[in-house]
Amino acid sequence: MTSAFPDPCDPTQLDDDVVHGLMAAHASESVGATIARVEPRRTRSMPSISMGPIAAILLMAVTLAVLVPLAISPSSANASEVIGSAEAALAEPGSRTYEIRITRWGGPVASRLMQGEITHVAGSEPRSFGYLELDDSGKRLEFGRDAQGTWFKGPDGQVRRRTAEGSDGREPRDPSQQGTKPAARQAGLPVDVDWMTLDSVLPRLKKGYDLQVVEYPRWKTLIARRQWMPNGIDPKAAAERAESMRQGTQPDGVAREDRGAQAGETRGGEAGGANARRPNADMQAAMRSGLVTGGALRGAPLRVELEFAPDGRVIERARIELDAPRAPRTIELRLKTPGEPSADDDVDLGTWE
Amino acid sequence: MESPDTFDRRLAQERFLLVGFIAAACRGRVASSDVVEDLVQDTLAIAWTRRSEFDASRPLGPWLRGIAVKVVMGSVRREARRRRIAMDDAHEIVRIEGLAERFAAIEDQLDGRQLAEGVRGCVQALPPTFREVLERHYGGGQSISEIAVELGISDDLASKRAIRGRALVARCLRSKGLAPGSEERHAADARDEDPS
Repeated sequence: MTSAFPDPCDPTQLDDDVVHGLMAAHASESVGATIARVEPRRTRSMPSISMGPIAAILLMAVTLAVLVPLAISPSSANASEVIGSAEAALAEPGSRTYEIRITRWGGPVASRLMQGEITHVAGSEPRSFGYLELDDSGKRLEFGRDAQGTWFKGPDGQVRRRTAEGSDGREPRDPSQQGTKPAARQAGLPVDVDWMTLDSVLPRLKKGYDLQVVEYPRWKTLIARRQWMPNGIDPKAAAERAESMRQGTQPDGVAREDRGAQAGETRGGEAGGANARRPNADMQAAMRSGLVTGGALRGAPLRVELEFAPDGRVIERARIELDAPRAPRTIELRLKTPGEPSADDDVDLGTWE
Repeated sequence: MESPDTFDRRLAQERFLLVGFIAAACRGRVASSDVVEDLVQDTLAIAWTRRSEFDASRPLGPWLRGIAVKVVMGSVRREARRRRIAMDDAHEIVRIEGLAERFAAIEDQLDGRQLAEGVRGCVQALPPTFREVLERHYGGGQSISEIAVELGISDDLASKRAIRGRALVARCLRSKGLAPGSEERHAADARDEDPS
């Protein structure tokens, strides 16, 4: 037996959404006829509409022609320019505070993991600092980043600092090293602090991501999708990555040092000690050829969405979806204006019809 | 560029399908039918102001829906912001453009007038139980819960009657050949009804 409605994916069929639309259109044409038999229309119901009086449309058109910007179609803004202007805006002297929400996704259920704030201070001494609330009891974990590196202050009050030497600091690191920072996680943070700081996220989107800018007169959004995503993955690159994983090397061809050390033995009869580095020649060749764009990117966001203020430069909202096989996490950053209440104060839990 | 009068007439002819498309695209995304009407008016007003860009030799429907997609997306985004609900832009665009495709398929076969007449006839032919719920919901602007209270039935039953009523309207349209793929689907409907 066929279902009441046909396949919703088939564009040639009437599905429930389409019939809903047709019913609404029918109702809008029948105002004053069919409806009058049912109930007097309430004040919130649709006003009487008729296409007959073209004058009404003309009047509205003239009014809107003054008020509405004429350009309504998306423009093809260059993603690199958008990132560049966002970086420039972040570097302008001053400070901006973002509300942080970190959500963990598991199965169909999402749970709020932590919330807090982060403040970026730009100028002669750029730094970022903020906190995450560990639970409802008000315990906080403070963190920050300055010229000396990243620091964390846990519930025990101890400050742990990761120095700016090497790959850290304000310079963007090699994308192939993303997500491999044990020091960040030792502090008990659910996610790497780099993914919560926008000036760290922005440069990384320039490599290894497909960028799309959707722009309308009042808003602009940059959507970055990681090139490792299944839809865009190159089959050969995927096979090589799988092979690399099987051999116990990272996708960039470097052996994982901890594996051999823990096992205390070599793998597959290969020569070398616990700390041997076994380059995966095929993977390295694939990376050189550009087949594996962006390198490993393990732990890097699968998708980043940046929503800009009407000026097109200041990031008002960011949604950073982190890659984690068992419990993917999403960081949401929302620009706070001074005196603005927390988002929780006016959350509307009502359902949509 | 065609004359304003001609353009007006063509807008009027397209209105039924435009309202249908916007209502379908806003379903579950905006709370009030008033918003749908606002979006229809916005789309028509924008179309009017930009009529010089319209190629009169081409069909108006797809052009109008192109504007409507952007207008609806803007509204859906505002609503999501207001409710502080995370929204997947790409998913929304795919959903709305999928609906635009379906309305394009309808438009390929029928004009708005024929379809409007067909829907009217099919609604009139509904059993009273279903028609009452649909007329209150769509015409009276009542929510399913409000209808349930007034009719003294459960929310669940009112909702089922609305769904079943829409399914009957769809089936009726197919039986009249007023829907894409009517022949095949009508044959399937007939098989469902014939137990032998």
